[in-house]
Amino acid sequence: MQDNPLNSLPHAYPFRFLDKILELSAERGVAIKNVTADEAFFQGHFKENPIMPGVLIIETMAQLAGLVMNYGNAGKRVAYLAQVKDVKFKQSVTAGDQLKAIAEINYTFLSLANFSVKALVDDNIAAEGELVMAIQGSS
Amino acid sequence: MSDIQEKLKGMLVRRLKLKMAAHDIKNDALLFGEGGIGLDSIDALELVVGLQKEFGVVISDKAVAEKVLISVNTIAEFIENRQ
Repeated sequence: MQDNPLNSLPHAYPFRFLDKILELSAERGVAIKNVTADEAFFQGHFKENPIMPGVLIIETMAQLAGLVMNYGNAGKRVAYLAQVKDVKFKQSVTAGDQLKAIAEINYTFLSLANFSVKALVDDNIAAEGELVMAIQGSS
Repeated sequence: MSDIQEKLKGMLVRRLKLKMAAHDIKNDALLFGEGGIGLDSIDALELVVGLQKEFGVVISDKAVAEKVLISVNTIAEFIENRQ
């Protein structure tokens, strides 16, 4: 299990939003989040109409971007979300959906990286935009 | 030189979505920190990419960044020396 990149994610239950990594390199990552009916946030968002909050879709994409940025340095550094840019939500995500997150580095400078991110359900874009991630710690 | 400076100011306002007009940026105003334009480290990422895409100059390390990313004048000088 040492090789599973999810083990290097600093997030834990109930704030880990990646279930499986499909692809991971220093430039790009693809991961799955299975959105289940017993997610805590569905208790209140919304009472009669369970929809995954947009901010948590952003968090899902940011956790993946953090893994991409930390590729090869797992456990030594932490990637923080520094900026959310032009994110659009195009369809709701609900219980039973499988959310596929994609994060690709556009450019980097020192400890910062700009990512294009997407979250898809059944190949339809649920959310897309750009995130800036910042690394703290030694490499 | 003044053409580069005007183009630089336009790029700064556009890429960094500054809430000021290009002509309000003084050539020697400090770009970062208090008392100047007030850019932060995240703006530096956009600025460096803008310089690469629009002026063809690369700033890849911290030492160069600290010498160049001071004011419109210092960036314009850096660009001119590489053209």
